[in-house]
Amino acid sequence: MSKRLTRRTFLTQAGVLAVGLSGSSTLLAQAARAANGKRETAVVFVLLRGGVDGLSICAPYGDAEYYKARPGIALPKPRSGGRALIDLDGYFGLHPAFASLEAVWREGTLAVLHAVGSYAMSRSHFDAQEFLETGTPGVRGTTTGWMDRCVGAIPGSAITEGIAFAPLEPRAFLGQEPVLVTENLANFELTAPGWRNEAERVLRQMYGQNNGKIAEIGRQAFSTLDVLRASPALRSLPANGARYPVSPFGSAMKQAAQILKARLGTRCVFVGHEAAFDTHSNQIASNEHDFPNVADSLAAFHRDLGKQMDDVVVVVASEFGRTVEEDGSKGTDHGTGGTMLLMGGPVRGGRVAGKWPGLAKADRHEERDLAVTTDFRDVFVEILRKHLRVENPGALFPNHKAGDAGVLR
Amino acid sequence: MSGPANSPLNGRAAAAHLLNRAAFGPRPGDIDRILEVGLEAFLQRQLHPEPEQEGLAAKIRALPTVQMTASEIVLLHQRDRGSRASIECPLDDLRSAKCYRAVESENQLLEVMVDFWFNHFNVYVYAWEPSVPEYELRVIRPRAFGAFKDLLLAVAKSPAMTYYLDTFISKADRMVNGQLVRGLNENYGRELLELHTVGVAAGYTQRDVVDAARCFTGWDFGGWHAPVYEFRFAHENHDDGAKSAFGLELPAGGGVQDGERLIEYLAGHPATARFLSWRIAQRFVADDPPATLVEKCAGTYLSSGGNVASVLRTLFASEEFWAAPIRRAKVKSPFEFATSAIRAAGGTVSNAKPLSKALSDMGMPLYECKPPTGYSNRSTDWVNVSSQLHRINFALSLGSNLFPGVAAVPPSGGAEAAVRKFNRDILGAENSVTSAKHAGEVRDPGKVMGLLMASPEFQAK
Repeated sequence: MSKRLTRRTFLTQAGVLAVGLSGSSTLLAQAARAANGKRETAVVFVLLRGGVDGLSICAPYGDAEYYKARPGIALPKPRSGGRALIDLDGYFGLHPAFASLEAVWREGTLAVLHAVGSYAMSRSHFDAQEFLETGTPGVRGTTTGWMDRCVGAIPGSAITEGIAFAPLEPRAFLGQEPVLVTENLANFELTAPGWRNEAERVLRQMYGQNNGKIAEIGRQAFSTLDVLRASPALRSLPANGARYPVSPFGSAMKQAAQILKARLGTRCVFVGHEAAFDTHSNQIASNEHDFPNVADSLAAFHRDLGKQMDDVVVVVASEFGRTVEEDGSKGTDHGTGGTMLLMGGPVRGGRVAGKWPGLAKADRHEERDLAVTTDFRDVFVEILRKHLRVENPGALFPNHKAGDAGVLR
Repeated sequence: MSGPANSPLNGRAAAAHLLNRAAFGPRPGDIDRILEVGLEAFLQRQLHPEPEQEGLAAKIRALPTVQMTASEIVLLHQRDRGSRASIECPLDDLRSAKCYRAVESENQLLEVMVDFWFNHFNVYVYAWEPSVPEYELRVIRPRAFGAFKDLLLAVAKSPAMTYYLDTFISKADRMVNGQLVRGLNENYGRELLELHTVGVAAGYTQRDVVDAARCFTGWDFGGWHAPVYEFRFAHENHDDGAKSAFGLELPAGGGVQDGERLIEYLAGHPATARFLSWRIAQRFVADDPPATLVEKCAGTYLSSGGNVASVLRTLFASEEFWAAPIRRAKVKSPFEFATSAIRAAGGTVSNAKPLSKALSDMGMPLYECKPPTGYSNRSTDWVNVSSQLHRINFALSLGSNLFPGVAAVPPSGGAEAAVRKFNRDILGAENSVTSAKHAGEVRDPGKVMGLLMASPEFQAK
């Protein structure tokens, strides 16, 4: 507890102490330099908001029930011509729009985890996202997110320890720990043409001498400015010929790679992505439109980081899966068991992980949704324990008897 | 009204509080004007909107698509196919009208409530762009202060909502050659319960969701080839079986009345009274509104037949609203911040595009909230480091009258006068706020105003 307060106090006071000092000699610039170059592990949590249909990302074409339940939207079996599934293991096939990730799968650093979730989740987007981000399924109004608690449990004081590429602070980072929230690092700068230094000096005093949440966030903003101004490595170009899609998600993944490559002590990255994943109707066309952006951005990130992927685990999740059966509009409604993608050197990849519950009516949750065989908290706990080396990570998920999900090596 | 009279807030502070909550913040001189007529008279006037003043009305008339129906906009697009200008028009026009009205309209509370209800019944503009202008102008705006059940029904029957939440393609499940052919889409049925009426904690089941959705099978906007997009009940698509939704039993054969009866039932349900009262109190009073206030408002809701103006009267008359700790306890949303800054600067908007871009940078692109949940009314959700930096940049630019598309009036007199006026006329403060001391070190009055609008004190309402 005291450590958490220390980091927060340090960061928010640093923004004030920098008043009057030249930018390069601030405490935070020193902290950034100290972190610079140091090899650390990181987790990138990608949240596909809207409830993506995991059974379309990775379809169980070997299950006859799949074609029975989805006569209008099931994807064609591998090698059947046209936009057919990409065979993974003789039973599951990857959506053809995910082709750019096939090589990562073959290399053994990409896994699909089906039937993940929690029965305390809700078929409400809002509730289910909250439960996933706070790590407390069934409990509304939890005041901290699991990534905030994770940052609090990791040693270090860089403001860049926790970063969210999102328009607003995600609930995964709700809590006391400072977090850098941004959609575009490149325009994170104070603009006051002709009087920036004067304006900045006055603003630092104003925010330094006020109390309350806004003043504190303002002080963190100035701390962040100090770090970013001292880190030219943040403007590095994608490496290894990686090409990101020109899209908000592509841009977010590119920036995530930039900040990880700059080695500024970043440990927890959140990337939010909202597209037409809530496919109540015309799902085939929606997925064809939205999936390439997801897959190609992830593939570019993987290529860009290259060897550094040994230090990174990317978790792609959504608030719930969708109904096993298609609805009346060639779409699917809100379901329960969902799907995660896990990518990175530490991942036991090249396989569909978890226990497959089957699609038969009797095997479904409430005869309707894919059942849950892996609690999503077990995935987080395993990553925290094995990858981020957090001591006793189970304690960060109250009222849950945590086990490993078996997704990492 | 017992509230303001017994409030611990003094006159100027009380007027500033009311203008920050029931309006988009004070313009120079507003606090004095309101104190002259009295807070109660001001509220009465706000609950009875008058025709928009001519200058504003003329600006809005100049926005071609704001007045148009969905059918008219689609026709316009077909006529000038390929003209980029007309294709981008509806969203630009919507944003312009919203910004003009929030900054300039004398019907401030109406604009706050239109914003509130649009957000409560959110549709994403790019779902079906041509349907959104009439949704705001003809469905929501005329019913902002009336009976909630009328608003709920008009929304349910609007082309925008029947499209956005898939009601228009939801049909009865049928047996064909012994095989079940699914037709039902439960999207609207779920959100009607969760977001529009009783709330997610009300205890409804999956069965309630399905039966609620069944009530609205056959509700559409006439189909894509209709000459005019308007509500149509396509009986052949309706599920005419018996239904049971959240305690309402509907016998078979109800036709269009299934949906109408369910809406009437839900609008009158105590869970709806509480949920709406909580949302309104969260918007106007506090992120975690006092339970006593929610109960008062819910009581008024039920006794007034769900009349929104009555609920607002109760809220503004409550001691909870006027309690000292409530003042400046909420952070302005980006839209509230930007419009209140323009008003504080005595400004007007002539081109809303740069302002819209700035709002996107602050995390709140107007009309672009994708999920049906709408934007958060919890003010702390809007606070983060990059949003704060973008707010500061906007304020500094506006203060120096350099922000494109907005004309600000730099304060007359010197820097000291600028500080004094901002304290007194905008913040309603007796004593100088902390930031004023520092802002006063700068000699240019416009820069002083910019710094004060960038201050922590001005982010709160």
